[in-house]
Formats: sequence, structure tokens, C-alpha cells
Amino acid sequence: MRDTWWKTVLGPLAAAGLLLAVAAPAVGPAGQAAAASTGGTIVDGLYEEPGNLNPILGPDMTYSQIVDTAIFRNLFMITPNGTMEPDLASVVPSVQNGGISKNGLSYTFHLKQNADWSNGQPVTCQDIYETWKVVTNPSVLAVTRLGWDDVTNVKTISPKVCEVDLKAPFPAILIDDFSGNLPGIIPYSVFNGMTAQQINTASFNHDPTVTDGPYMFQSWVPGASITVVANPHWYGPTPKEGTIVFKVIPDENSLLANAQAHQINTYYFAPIEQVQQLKAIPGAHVFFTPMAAWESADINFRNPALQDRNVRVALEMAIDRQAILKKIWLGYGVLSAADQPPIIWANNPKLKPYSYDPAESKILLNKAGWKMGSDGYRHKNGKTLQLVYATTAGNPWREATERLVQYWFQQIGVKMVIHDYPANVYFGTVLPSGKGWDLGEFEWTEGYDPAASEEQLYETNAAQNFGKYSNPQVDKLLKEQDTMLNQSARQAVLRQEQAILHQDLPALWYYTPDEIDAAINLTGYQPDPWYVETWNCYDWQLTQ
Amino acid sequence: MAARPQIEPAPPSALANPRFESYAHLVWRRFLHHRVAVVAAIVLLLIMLAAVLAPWVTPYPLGQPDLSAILAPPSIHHPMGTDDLGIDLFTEVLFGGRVSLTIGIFAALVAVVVGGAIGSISGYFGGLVDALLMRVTDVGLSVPLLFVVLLLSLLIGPTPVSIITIIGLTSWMYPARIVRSQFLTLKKRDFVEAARAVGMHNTRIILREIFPNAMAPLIVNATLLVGQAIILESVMSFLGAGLTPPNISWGYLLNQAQSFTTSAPWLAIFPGLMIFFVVLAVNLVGDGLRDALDPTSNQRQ
Amino acid sequence: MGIFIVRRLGQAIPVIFLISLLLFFMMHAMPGGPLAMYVHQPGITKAMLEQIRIDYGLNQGIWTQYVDWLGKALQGNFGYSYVYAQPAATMMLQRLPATLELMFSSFLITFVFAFLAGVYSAVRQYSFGDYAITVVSYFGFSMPTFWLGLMVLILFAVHLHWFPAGGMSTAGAAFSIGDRLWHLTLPMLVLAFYTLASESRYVRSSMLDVIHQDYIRTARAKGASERRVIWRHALRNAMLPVVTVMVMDAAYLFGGALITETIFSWPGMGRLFIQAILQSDYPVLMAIVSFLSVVIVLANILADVLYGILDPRIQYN
Repeated sequence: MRDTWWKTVLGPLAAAGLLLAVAAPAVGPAGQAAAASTGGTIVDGLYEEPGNLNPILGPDMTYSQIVDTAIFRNLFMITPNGTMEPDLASVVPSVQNGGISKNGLSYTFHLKQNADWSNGQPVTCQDIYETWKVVTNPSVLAVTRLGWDDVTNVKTISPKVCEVDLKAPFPAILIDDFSGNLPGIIPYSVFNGMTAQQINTASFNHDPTVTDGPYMFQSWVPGASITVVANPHWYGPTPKEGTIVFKVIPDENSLLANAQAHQINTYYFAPIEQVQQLKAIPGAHVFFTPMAAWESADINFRNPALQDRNVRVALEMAIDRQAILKKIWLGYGVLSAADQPPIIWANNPKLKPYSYDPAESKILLNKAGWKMGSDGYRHKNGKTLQLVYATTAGNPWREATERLVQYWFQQIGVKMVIHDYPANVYFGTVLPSGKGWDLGEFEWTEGYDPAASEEQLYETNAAQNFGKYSNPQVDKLLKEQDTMLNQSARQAVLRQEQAILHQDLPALWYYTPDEIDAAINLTGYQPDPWYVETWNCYDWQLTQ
Repeated sequence: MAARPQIEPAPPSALANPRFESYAHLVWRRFLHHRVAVVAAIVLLLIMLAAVLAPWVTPYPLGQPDLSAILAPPSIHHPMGTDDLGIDLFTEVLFGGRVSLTIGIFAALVAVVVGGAIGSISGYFGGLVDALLMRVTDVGLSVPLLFVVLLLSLLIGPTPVSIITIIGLTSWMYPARIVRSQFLTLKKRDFVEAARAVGMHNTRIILREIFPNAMAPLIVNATLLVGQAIILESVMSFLGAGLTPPNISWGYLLNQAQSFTTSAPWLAIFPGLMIFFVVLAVNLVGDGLRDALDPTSNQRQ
Repeated sequence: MGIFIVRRLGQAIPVIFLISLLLFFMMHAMPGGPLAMYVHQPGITKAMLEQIRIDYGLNQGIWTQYVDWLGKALQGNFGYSYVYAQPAATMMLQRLPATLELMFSSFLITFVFAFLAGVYSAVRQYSFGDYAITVVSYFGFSMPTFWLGLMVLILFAVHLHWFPAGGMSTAGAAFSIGDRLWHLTLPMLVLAFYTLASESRYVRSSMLDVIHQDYIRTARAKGASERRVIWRHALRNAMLPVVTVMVMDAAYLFGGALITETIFSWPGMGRLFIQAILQSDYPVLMAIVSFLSVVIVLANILADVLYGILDPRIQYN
């Protein structure tokens, strides 16, 4: 009697549990138990959910760009081999074909005759005009005004022919404003007459009903997925699959699991730690694409110790960057001599990365007056050579780099304290304030003209010159190339600038990692270092 | 050990026993009867000892990378395997134990002491005091844990002491409400009335009469808090508010293991197992302690 | 009891105000700020950042900002998210059904099994079953949730293909209850297991406290069946700390099932919350915190009412 009470209760419960376990797979949609057959629906795994789908509204999120590019197009686009091709436009303007005036102040754009919005109306100069008005409105939270700020007028010569006038030559304007999204081109029919407040909070930002890309927006389940379907008004090649579902999977382990379960077809920006496992998935193709980006550790020149070049060189040579690239990045990347990586035309091929030579580091530190103490660290005038190393939290390869650097610095007598921060805090407060860090590691991505990066990072008092680096020679060179229209002339000047940066070490130059993407059961997928992966989503086709 | 039949259960007013020294001895002897609790206590002490002696016990110096042995599975050279820099995991687990055990135990203590005090006063006195303290508790519960932890850590900086304080001061609400619920019912019992009738001071009543009976769920809570504190530190690490090398902890190791959950499972398993053993051991010891203090409980002979 | 509830609701109002005030100030004290996502912008200037600041209303004094927010919040207007440019209240309400779905289902399982496991463990103290349940409970509790959830995901979704690898429903398919249940199963079980592990300990401990009391022996001596003794007499008196913990756990689940939501790509409030914290999305943060504080306050009132029901000796004066 005493023992039976739990048997009578647990018995049926166990049976119920068993029933559930058996029935559960049957409860799901038929045929879902095996590898997901998407039948016309491509599933993309997004690590982050886009904030909004307006091609000109901030914040600047890569994942917003990815979805935007499936539904919005710009005048031009840059293909994987680096050439600019017309997209909404019918021809790329240049000085030779008269599209750009000789003084660089006037651009003439010819739009494709069959370029239409998804509501059937043609894409015209009015859309470019509207974009200009909205982007330059100070109360609109535009992602950037770079370039658009210089526009003085957008003239309609005919509905499909526009003239854009600048107040000063800006050779990068085609890349910065007229290729890709964020910023992109918005429909006049939707935004005409709206106030800034209305634009910032428009329902269009979450329900983009009027688009001009290969796909058009269908629905957005908040936090879960965005669905787009083939756009019949698209002028380009008909999309091979009818639907793309962008699924939000905010965890890298889950993304991997989904890839392994064949429930997603693309995996953007896969982390290096998962490469072996991704390669092992049947039907998966892993792409390694050189990036227009670089990883480096900014030097904080407010620290007097770091103002001595000998110290900076010593630090650079104490870090075995080649080993980091080989062991942590499995060789998928390239060492940096200065900032611009080899795929960018401003890169100076004559510069060689600093070698790994801790013995030389010790000599240089001694020369700089930092003598080894009994505690294993160097001292000068009573101070210990201690540096605070900061970067964003949550990146396993940055954490690996930090620990290695800490160890290597210890070998040459430099004490290193690690202090990581959430990205928002790091970029919003820590770096700009200049306090609480001596070396700040981060990655800078260049989707646009290299000069803009240089000016933002290394010009005196520039907006992202967090370390307060200043070299008047660099400033002079950057100003010089600003107004040059001839790319080879600019290249010569920028290469000179690169040589100075290599010498000066305003940051410890590390490496440029490859971008890692995986396509599973999908052909036609091709990463583009100058654009985002959805640039040719109309070519994507499912295989089984 | 048969108890005398009574209408209402008489809790042990044992702590009021003037011959306190021999009572402690009594408790100790009763505890020793509890074989499982004794084993658990020994295991716990061993783990603590290993952690304390880490610099002498570990085969490798802390934080020494070995890029030729990256992500090596457990072997003779590396009994717990290595991480993504070839650093020996066993070494890190032992050193990490010092930090995590300290954080876990002290944070739990702070939470339980603060919460226990608030809960007892609140439950015993009732009325305005109760209302006030419980409203403060409401505020404490509503303030999102991760948010407070992140904010405080960013403002104060992550050192073991600050983390103990932060975790402790954000975890007292559960013990407070648990203890209060016990006090609400216990203070109505006859033995409390009797104690008052004898003229016992409120403090004595709270500490010596009621509290020993309210302790059981508190012990459970304290045990769970030890584990929770260690894991919370791991979440702090992930956000960038935790300890950084060379001050590693099990929480740091767990955070690191996330990226290698399937490619190098030992990185998550061993720290996880250590937390498991510690939490289990603390619980079994707590169980034994509770039984040793309460003579009417069913004891295994 | 009715007066008690009214009084408590009256006390709740200043508490909720105080919480909103506290959170508002803490939110602004957090380094980072919503402008951080604009700092990286190409061509950004200090003037432009200042303009964004003005657009967000962040250039005013903090008390002005709070009073402004409060005034609007009382009318149900929680402002627009800095990241999504959507009404913060709407965003939160959009995530609520997913959270409720996960919460209720897992809580149901937890409730039932915590009692079964806890009672069994207490009745059969020191038996093999008791130790087995103890070990499994602590194992479930100690192994980090991300590990357990991931292992479950990999085993059942990747290797066995019994369940989908996350998400609320099948991408692109029409709505079906079966589909939703199928997607709910894994995250629900993982969440339930974790909460179950801790709650069964409280049940066990409370039962142990009570089960050896003399009035239990009296009941048995009077001839009551074992089942009646355990479930009717013992359990009722053991419930108080259990009720405390269960009510707080349930309230906590609203914003706290973060890791489960992340691993199983479940679009709930937990994820929205942590995102808002990390991105300093003030309007969404305040909306969620306001909601959570109301939930917590009501939950604790509920717990106190339940105490009164379970133990009639308890009075609130």
C-alpha cells in the first residue's frame, strides 16, 4: 500500500512521455524528418536581425545590407573581380565617355529604360533627386552623408537621364553613394512629401512595398525571419528560385547545427573555428574570400611610452603574427605591412611586414631606456612598462590573440593587462575617450574608396583617429590625392602614405583575415569582397 | 531515535543549550554518521586543496601556449586536453578553481546572509517593516540582473572582490523571500508564543528559535547560488565584464568553450563537471548539516 | 483578503514608479550609449553625432528626459526603438506571444515533474532513487544551459532529425498547430529541465522538513492512506518556500530565457532584452523593464495571497 502511490501516478506519466516521444516526429509536417527539401525556397541563416530595410536609414548593419541588396539596387555595382558595372544605370560614366565632366564637378547618369519599381513605375531621376533631399536632411537618421553632402543639384534632363553637380570634385562618389545599399536609392513615390520624423518612423522601413531588385519583400516575422519573393518587374535575369527566407539564428553553434541539418543554404561570416566542421558537411562549399579589411591594434599616443617609435617597433616585432595567421586562422589570410590589404589598389606592394624578432625587440627596448627589472618586467624612471590591451568581447580569435600577445610581451618584459568590452561600449565610449586602453584592437572594413578610410583613421584629429596619431606629412598627402581624378596618380600618392604608416606604426599591423562563407546545397553563390553576398542572388539555385 | 509525542512539533532550541561546546560536538558526531555527506565534504576539501596548491600541482605554468598542440583531446600529456592555444586545460581548471570557488562560495554567502537577514526581519515583524522591505525586494527583482551586473562591472571594473559583491548584492532577493515565507508560518507556532511568554528578546527568538527551522530551503538556495554565481561569471565573461587572463576562472573557461562546443567538447565538459561536483558536494554537505542540526529528522544509522 | 489585495496593489504603484526611475538613471549611466552604432559611419562628424543626439532627445537634462518619458509612457507611448525605428511597445508585444508560449508550456512540465521528483526523493530519502534524482538534478543545473541546449539540439535535430533545428515554425510554410508544437518541443524541454532541476530540490527539502513531523505520524496512525498522508497533509504545509520560488521563477522567465531562446532561435522577449541592453536601445529597454516590473510586483502579490490560502494561520497586519 505504502509503495503503490507513486507507481499509480508515474505509470501513466511514463506512458504519456513515451507516447509523446514517439508521436512527436509524426506531428511535424510530412517529409520534414529527412534533409529539408526547400523546393524553390532558399533559406539564409542571418546571425543578426536587420534593424530596418530602408536603403538609406541607419544604423549601418551588414545584415541589413544583405537583405536590402536582394530587394534594392543602385546605379552601379562592383563585381567580385573589382570592376564597376552598371546596374540600374545603363553605362558607367567616365571622363572618356563624357559621363564625368573634365573638372570632376558634373556627373551624367543614364538609367536603364526597363528599370522599374515593383509597383510597375519606372525608376527615374526623381528617385535620385528624392534620395538626395532625404539623405541631406539633417533630421533624417541617414546612415551617412559622405558624398551626398557635396551635391549641389540633381537635374532631370529627361526621365532617364540625370545630371548630378558637385561643389568640389569627389572621385569616390560613384563607389560611396551609387554602388550598393546603405546608402542606396529610395523611391520618390513613397517618400515625397514626408517630414524627417515621418521618414525615420515610416512603416516602409519595415514593410518595403516598393522595391527595384531581383526579389521583393513579402513578410517579416519579428525576431524570426524575413521572406522575399521573385520580383516580376526586375529587369535583370529571372531569379532561379522563387523565394528566399532570411532566417534569424543569433548563435554560431545553432547556425552550424542548422547547416549540418541542411536547414539553411547559406552561412555568412562563419567563424574560423567551425571551418573543419563546415567542410565536412555533404553538399557544402566553403568559400575563403580576401577581404577589403584589416585587423590591427591602435596605438594610444597619449601614453608617453608609446610615443617612442623604438617601443612601437619592439612591440610589433615581439608578436608572431605569422603564427597567429597560420595556427588560429589556419592560413586563411594575409599578413599586413601597413593597413591597406593587397586586394585594394592603394596597397604598396614594396612594403614587407615586420619580422618576428623578439631578440631585436629587447634591444630596441633597452635603447629606449626600458631596463629589465627583477620582477621580470622593464622599468624606466620608476615606472613599469605596463600596457592595457582592449578589444571587443565575445570573439574567440581576438581572445586567443590577446592571450598570445600577453605571453609574448611577457617574454620581452612588457606587462600587459587585458580589458575587454561589449562592442557598443568599446566603440561608443572606450575608444573615443582615449581612456582605459593603450592598445585597442579592432577590424576596419572598407567597402568603399580607400582614401575615406585613411582620412577617417589616420588624419590628425579625424573622427576615428582614436589614438591621436598625428603626422603632417600624412595629412598633406591625403589632401593632395583628394582632388585627383586620375586613379594612378592617386595610387602613387597613397602608396607613399602607406610607406609612412608602415614606418610610423600608428597601429600594430596584424593581418587581413579571409571572409569565410558556406553555401549548402546551393549553386551560383559567389562572395564579393566589394559588395554583399546577395549581389547575385538571382543566380542562386538549389541542388539536392 | 524516537522523539517524544507532542501536539505541535518542538523544534530544537538546542542552540539555547548552555552547554554549547558539547552540543557542537554532538552535531559533529551526528554529521559524521552521514557517510555520504562526509565523502562529499572530503571531495570538496580535496578540490579546494588542489586549487590552492595549483602552482605546485600543475604540470605546466599558467597561460603558456603551445601552438603545436592546439585543441588536443585528453591524453597522457594533457589529462584534460588543451584549448585553442595549446594551453593545458588541467592547469587552467586548477587555477580557475581558486577564483571560482572563492567567487561561488562567498557570493552565495553574501546573498544568503543579506537575504536571510532581510527575510527574517520582514517575516517576523510584519506590518510596515515587512511592506517596506518587500517593496525593496520587488525593486531588486525587477531590476534586470544582467543589466545591473554589466553596469556595475563596467563602472567598478572586474576584480574577484567586485564580482563577489556584485553577484552577492544582486542575488539576495530569492533567499529573502524564501526565509520570509518560512517566518510567516513559523512565528505563529506555539513554541514561539512560549518563548515570548518567557520574555525572550525578539533577536533571540529570531536567531535561536525560528531561524534553525527556516534554514532548510535556505541551504538549498545557498547550494544553487554557488553554481549560479560561477555560471553568472561566465555570462559576464561573454559580455566582456568578467575576469581576464591571467585571472582566469571556470566561468572564463566556459565562455571560451562555447566556440568549441562540438569541435573540442572537453573544453566545456571538464569545467562543467567541476562545477557539477562542487555544487553536488556543497548540497550533500548542506543536507548532512541540516540533518545533524535537527535531531528529529530521519537519520540513516 | 480582498482588502489585502487592494492595499498591495496600492503599494505597487509607487514601487513601479521607483523602478522606472531607477532604471532610467542606470540606463543613462551605462557607458556606450545609442550613438555608438553611428560612430563608425563613413564621413561622420561631431556635428552629425550631435544632431542625432538632438533627434533622439538626448541633449536635454536627464530629469527632463525622464519626465518626458514618463508622461508619454503613462499614455502607452514608449517611443521608437533607436535600432528598429518601430514603436518600442509594439516590438515588445510582438515578442510576447512567443515568450508566453515557451513559458507556459515549460512551466507546466516543470510544475508537474518538480513535485513528482521532489516528493519521491523526500519520501524515499537516502534511497538509490533519491540519490539518482539528486545527481541528475544537479547535473542539469550545473552544466551550463548553452551546453545542454546545444547537445539536445545536435542530438535530436542534427543527428536524429526528429525535430527542427530551432525557430518557431517552418520557413515559408502555412500555419499549423502540429508544426508549432513540433518546433516548441525541444526548447520547452530544455528550459523545463533546467528549472525543474532547481525546483525539485526545494520540494524535496520542504517535504523533508515536514514529513518527519509528528502530526504526520498521527495522520498515519489514524489510518489515512499513504497517498493521502503525503499529498494532502504533508505537501500542503511544505509548499510555502516552493510557491515562493516557483512564482519568482515564472516571473523571471519573461525576460530570462535568453540562452534557450538564442540556441533555438526563438524570437522571444529575452533576446530582445539583451539586444536592447547591448545596443543601448533606451526606448525598448524602458518598455521591457516597465513590463517586467509590473509582472514581478503582481507575481509577488500572488505569492503572498497563495501563502494565505495554503496556511490559514498566516495573517498580514
